[in-house]
Amino acid sequence: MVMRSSAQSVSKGGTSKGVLLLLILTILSVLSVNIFGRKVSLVFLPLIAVLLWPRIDSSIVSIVFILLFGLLLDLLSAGPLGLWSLIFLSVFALIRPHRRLKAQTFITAFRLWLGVLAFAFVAAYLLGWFAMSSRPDFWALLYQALAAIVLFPIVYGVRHVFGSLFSDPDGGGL
Amino acid sequence: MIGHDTDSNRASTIALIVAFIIASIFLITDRGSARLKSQAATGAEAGFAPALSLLSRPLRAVENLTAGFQDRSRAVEENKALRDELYALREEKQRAQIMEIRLARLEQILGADPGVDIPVKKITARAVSEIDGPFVRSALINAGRNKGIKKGHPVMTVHGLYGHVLRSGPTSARVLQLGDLNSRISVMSARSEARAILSGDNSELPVLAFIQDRADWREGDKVLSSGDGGVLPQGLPIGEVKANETGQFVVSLATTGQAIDWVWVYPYVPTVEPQEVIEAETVTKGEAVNETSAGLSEAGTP
Repeated sequence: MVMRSSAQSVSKGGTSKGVLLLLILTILSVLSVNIFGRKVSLVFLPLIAVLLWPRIDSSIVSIVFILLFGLLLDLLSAGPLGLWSLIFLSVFALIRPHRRLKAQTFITAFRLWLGVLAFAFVAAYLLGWFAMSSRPDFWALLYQALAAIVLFPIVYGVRHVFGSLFSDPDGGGL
Repeated sequence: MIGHDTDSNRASTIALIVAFIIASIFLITDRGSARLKSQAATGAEAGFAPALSLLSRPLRAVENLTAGFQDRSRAVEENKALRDELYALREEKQRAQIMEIRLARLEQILGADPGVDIPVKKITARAVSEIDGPFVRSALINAGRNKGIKKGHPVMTVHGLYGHVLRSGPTSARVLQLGDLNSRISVMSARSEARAILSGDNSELPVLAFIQDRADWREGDKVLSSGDGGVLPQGLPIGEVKANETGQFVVSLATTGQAIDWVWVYPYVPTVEPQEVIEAETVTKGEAVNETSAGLSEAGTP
């Protein structure tokens, strides 16, 4: 009984961390930055939160939040409704954090991130084509993906620092 | 324990499948639920606009910093070019003043008062979020119905026309950029007054569509809004004509590559179709025709 309540509290903690990171990255993703004359949007950024989702978390609650945040991103980015939800859920289905046995190191997480990003890139291109009945701008999508690759170490580092500060029993939950 | 894990995995798989189905339904029926989506989007935008406004400030600061570096690196040559331009413009200004006087006299003689479409009043707002994505090109501004912004109002930057208001919420509004796939506006060449439709394709260079065979478009032409259709005022600067690799005319937008921070919205009242007048006239004409035909049939009746 004691063990069950302890497990539930850990699970809730994991959920709140995952949701908090997803919320922050979703809000950041609808901001674009103009660097030396080129506008770069950060739409792929919330996928990092899905990739780094705590493995101790309750998977059903995670799925509900990921669906809702995908819809929120669709609304805030004025894109086709359901597009990012499908991509988020696909990535979640691919990585299945609750089935992972041990925490990831930065190198393994980064390799996985490259794979996830490649998958998300293709999925976003094809689903966007289907939803808009027009081919999405390949280069705009590519620049967004490159921006997400560059920003991954920063997000990973920030998450790791905050994970350590709040003494995550799972070593950051990665 | 194993049984519990299997149950948990099965439950999560079912949840995942249900979530996939829900998301797919949203994607497939996206166009059919436009009103519902519009209401939800307006609510979400209004809720997140203050947070986006706050978060965009440091980003705009970084943008201004990089822009500042660029400006300083070319300050000397820009200064020289601006001085040359100033000398040339002084002469042009004198000519323009003379032309203005002549034009005023001619208008007085003809009794014509063409006026200018562009409203004097401007509503200033900040672009708190800009999406230049592969699917959509839009921006969120932190002013809405509270400032009098309505759907269709043109949105400008210091560089030129940026887009028009797609929907207006209580305190925020969504702006559709000229480059968006759904953006279509009537434009004209400042040189030849040739008409075309500027059609967005989610790229940085929207195309000039529906160009007539004899229309005189050339590379380098300045593109302005034509005001045809009465949706936008005439004469708003848009960009410059270029030819792409296939020889098709595209427009390099004046706002492309510029940091969009402050914008202003013109509360332009579109020229609407006088439906009621047309309907009233149709009814009147219809009655007149009926009376005439009745009269003719009566007259034709032996």
